[in-house]
Amino acid sequence: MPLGIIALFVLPALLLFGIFLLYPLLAALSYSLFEWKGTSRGDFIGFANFVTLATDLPYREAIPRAFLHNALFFAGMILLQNTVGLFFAYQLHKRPRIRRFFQTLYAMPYLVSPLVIGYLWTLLLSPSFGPINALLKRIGLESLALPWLGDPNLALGIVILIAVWQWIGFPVLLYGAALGGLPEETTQAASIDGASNWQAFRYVTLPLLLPAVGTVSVLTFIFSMEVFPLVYAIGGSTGSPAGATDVMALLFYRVSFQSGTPNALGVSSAVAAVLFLVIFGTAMIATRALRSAERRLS
Amino acid sequence: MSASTLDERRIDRMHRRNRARARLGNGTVHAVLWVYAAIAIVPLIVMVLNSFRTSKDLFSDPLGLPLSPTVQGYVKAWTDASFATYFFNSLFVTVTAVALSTAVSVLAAYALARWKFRGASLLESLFISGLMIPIMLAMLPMF
Repeated sequence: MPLGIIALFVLPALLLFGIFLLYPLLAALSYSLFEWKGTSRGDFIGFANFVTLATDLPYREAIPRAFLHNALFFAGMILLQNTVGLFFAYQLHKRPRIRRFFQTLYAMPYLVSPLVIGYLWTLLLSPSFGPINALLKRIGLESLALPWLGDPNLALGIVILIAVWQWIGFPVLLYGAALGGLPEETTQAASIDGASNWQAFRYVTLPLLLPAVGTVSVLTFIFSMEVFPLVYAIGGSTGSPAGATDVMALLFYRVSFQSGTPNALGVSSAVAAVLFLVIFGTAMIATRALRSAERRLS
Repeated sequence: MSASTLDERRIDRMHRRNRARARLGNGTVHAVLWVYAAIAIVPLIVMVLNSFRTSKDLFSDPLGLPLSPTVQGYVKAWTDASFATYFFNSLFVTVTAVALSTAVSVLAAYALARWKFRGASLLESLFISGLMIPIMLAMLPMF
């Protein structure tokens, strides 16, 4: 295929990608190396912005805490969304007649904007006029009618549950597609040899699904590190109950738009750069590890 | 010589036990599927039902149904909160973005998938690494 034709096909995507993704990325990374006065660029100060992040007070405590919350978010998503999603996908795979109906229902929250979902759940969980606490009181479980989003210990867990509720459609659909691509002969052979359902799943289906599990995990990691609209709607830009739901993206938003220091652009670019390096580095390592694990298994 | 050997009878018993276990598990799984379907859809239904009630109504009885439905909320959203502007903006952004990105991606994906050329895998990993870039990094320079 002549190079000119290939270029014609690939060039539009490459152009959009370059203008709207690559250039801003490189520009933002470069911003973190300068000192800013409002929106006019000052002097080149090297890594001083990053040093500020590590030593100056609000950042020194807020950044590790936000990263911790991101990590907890990721752990919660993997433990709940992946496992429950895989369970649903597998069970629906075995019931082809009702599969479409349930997939649609499970994916419905996925269609609504996370900002709206966050706001909806703050209304639902409101201790004064929310239906959930009202329902718990009505059936007598008054002791369980806690201020769900007001308690710093509960808030992050609730946010994770809401996120799982919204995005469970993603693994259900993805694993459903992956399960549809598996050959049926292997599971049939296993059941002829006397394997129970659980044994067939664990020793035959699951190893074949490992590439899909890996992909979903990497995407969940990237998503958990960048989660913003849901947390912003639930906790506001400060991670409302005393910073208990503060995540890196909220931190970035606060620093760049609400901190009021003249060097806001420099420090927030540094925050974004740190976040990018963490995401990119971990995703690269994880993808490489997954590829070699796949090669070993096949 | 009997027709079925000891081994065949053992395997037959195992099959029957597995099938009985599977039937019990099947009912439970069905129940779980329905329960989660309810969990997935009920908050959204509550949201829609509540949109037809007034704020006073919501404060006084959170669990009630819209017995005297009102479209007051929708009217206020359209007029006071300039929902029309937001809605049409969103519509415009969505349609344009989907059209443009689909057109561009289909071309590039076809080239990458069907033709072998020298920079193919490099280009592919370049595009995929775009997924890993946090959106905020990309938006900052626009300010």
